[in-house]
Amino acid sequence: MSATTSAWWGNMVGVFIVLMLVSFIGIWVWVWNSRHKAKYDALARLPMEDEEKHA
Amino acid sequence: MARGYKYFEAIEKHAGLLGFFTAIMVSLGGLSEITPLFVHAATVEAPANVKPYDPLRLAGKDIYVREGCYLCHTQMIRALRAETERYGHYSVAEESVYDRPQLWGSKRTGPDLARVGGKYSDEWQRLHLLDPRKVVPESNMPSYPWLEHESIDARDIMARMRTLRRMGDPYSDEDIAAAPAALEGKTALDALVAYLQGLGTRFSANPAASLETEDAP
Amino acid sequence: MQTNETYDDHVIRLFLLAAVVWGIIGMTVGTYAGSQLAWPALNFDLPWLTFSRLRPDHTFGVIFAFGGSALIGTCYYVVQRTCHTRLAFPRLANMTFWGWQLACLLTMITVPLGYTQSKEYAEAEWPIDLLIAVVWVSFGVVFFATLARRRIRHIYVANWYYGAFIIAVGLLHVVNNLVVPVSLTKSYPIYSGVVDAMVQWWYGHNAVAFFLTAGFLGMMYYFVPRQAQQPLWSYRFSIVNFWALISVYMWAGSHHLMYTALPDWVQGVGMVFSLVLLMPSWGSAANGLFTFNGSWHRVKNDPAAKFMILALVFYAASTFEGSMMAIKTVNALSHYTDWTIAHVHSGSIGWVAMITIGSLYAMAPRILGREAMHSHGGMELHFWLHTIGVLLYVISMWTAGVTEGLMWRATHADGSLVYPFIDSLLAIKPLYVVRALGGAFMVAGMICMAWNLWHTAAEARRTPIKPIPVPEPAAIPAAG
Repeated sequence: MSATTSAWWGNMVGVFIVLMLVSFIGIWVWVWNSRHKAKYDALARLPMEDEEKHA
Repeated sequence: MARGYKYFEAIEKHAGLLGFFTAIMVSLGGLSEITPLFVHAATVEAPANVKPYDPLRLAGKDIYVREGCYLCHTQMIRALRAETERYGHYSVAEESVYDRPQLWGSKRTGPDLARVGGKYSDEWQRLHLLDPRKVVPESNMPSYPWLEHESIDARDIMARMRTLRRMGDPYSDEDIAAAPAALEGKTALDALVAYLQGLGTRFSANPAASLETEDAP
Repeated sequence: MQTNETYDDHVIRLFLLAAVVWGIIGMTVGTYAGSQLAWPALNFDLPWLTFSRLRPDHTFGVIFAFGGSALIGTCYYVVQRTCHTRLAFPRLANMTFWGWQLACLLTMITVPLGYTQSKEYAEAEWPIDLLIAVVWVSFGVVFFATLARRRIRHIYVANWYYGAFIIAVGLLHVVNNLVVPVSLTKSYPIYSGVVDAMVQWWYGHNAVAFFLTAGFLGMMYYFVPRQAQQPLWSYRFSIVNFWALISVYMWAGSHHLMYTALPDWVQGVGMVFSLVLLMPSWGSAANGLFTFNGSWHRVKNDPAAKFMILALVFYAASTFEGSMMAIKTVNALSHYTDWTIAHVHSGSIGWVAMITIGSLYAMAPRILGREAMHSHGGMELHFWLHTIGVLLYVISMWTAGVTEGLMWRATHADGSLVYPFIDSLLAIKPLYVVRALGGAFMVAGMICMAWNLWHTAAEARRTPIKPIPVPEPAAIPAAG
């Protein structure tokens, strides 16, 4: 690979990785925001509420 | 689209957005690693000493593929001391430019074959393929006795050469026209032996010069 | 309260049946092929019965026929249950069943006959690849259309994993199988040499990531809380892990090509991302295991839950092992040896097969209109047969791999090699017998499962099954 292509592409790959890191931290902050706790707690119970109880 | 939801929540509540962002995130890795190799491969010409397979070896290579030899034999000598000691000079990228697909393999139930060409006689190879335990009593390689009785269809090989030419392999009209004569009376066993005996022999005798350019970052 | 809809479980029953049948076939082929490494005469000089043609038959059979049928079937089950809605396009869903079975059958027949692209885990020739692509798109349409008609606003996390599995596998399948046909039965890939190797292992690695991991994590995120009767340990953690897993996995494929002719920087990137990958992998395993917290006492008598727990333990173990094997110096020893085979199988028969079997045991009685499986003892027996089989297999191949790796690199003081290649084969040959024995245990377990399911379905075969009504969803807090 020519030096210029490789340097340009190296920078692109770097940008991708930084974007991934930023979105990862962003998602982490978002989901741990206490505003969302009730919603996520309800969702965690969803698999147990899929059918009417056979009483 | 996701009107009414804010920020990340839109992804959690909208299947289309979720799918879209999933597709983007899964594409980054492959894009980063494959694109430069692809661009590189498109701009670099094959070195002069590496030629596409002649008709008999092409037939042999496709039999190697058909029988699944690559599942137990690698064709990729890694740049490690013990490996170059056992199998010869480590493999370089230019050696497999005409391999569609590459046959680097992932498992060595038997030894590496990247430089097996010329290591044994044709006769040894024939005996070994027909019944490995005749020449290596401890071997657990399967016998391939059917290869001996199978003739090679020259028209099929010519069609394969034409397809490969369409993808850029430098076969001339004469190369293709010469196939029937080269394959006359040959069996699958002859072809496979010819292929094996050619492995690693296309590698130039003094690779140091070409290696320098290949490994340069 | 319930809606006036019922769940559509018909196609799921078909996939359940197919999964068990393919499981028995795929594992039997594997055991037979593995036996040939100990007793090579077992190919009886027949081309289609020879190890090198059966190995891809085995891998396709267990990954795509067994695993694929189980994944598509459970996906249809889970998406209905977690969206509180009926499956969209039932006829298209039925078509995905028959199309998938046709593709599996064709591949299982043509590969031993020698029609192969020789791309590992994508051996089927191009006409079958086209069929697979069509079925896959239809599967995606059914799945996303069902999501679109859900009654719960929020898309439950299991569906995220199933969705990523569908999108990524579709992408991988198309890119990896770009070929120029010579005839109906022969083609050449558009890539050659190094590029082909990178594409091949980008595919090979991510087939593991999205077929064998993301898909089965989707299964796990529904069936584990369902079986434990406990809420998911941390829903938040599952979201973080999802995005980390799907974005990091795709970078790691180059760890299959350490010290080869692949450019160094790609090998380096592959190694670093493989290490990072440990975090989302263990995150998911921990999330599953902690979900059982508080119900361990119930687990003791529940074979389905035991399968799930051991599956998660194997998932954690094999992802740790995988990250370690991606370190260049470890890879120098492990690569090309049976250690790779041990690693793959601790992932596939430890994690994948066990989470599948556990989930199928949890799902089967409900779609067959029964309170429980026919035989509790049968499930227990299967659990022990399978566990013993996995341990025999993994321990023997791990030992064999380390032995080979050490013998191949052993040198005298003057730098010459200590062992000729054949010595390493002789050293591990007894271990190939142990491996075959492990395979036989697992096949026996699968037959036991088939027997159990057959009897569980006995009533369903005599009288029509009463469809299960879709309940009205409970309200989920709207905030944020």
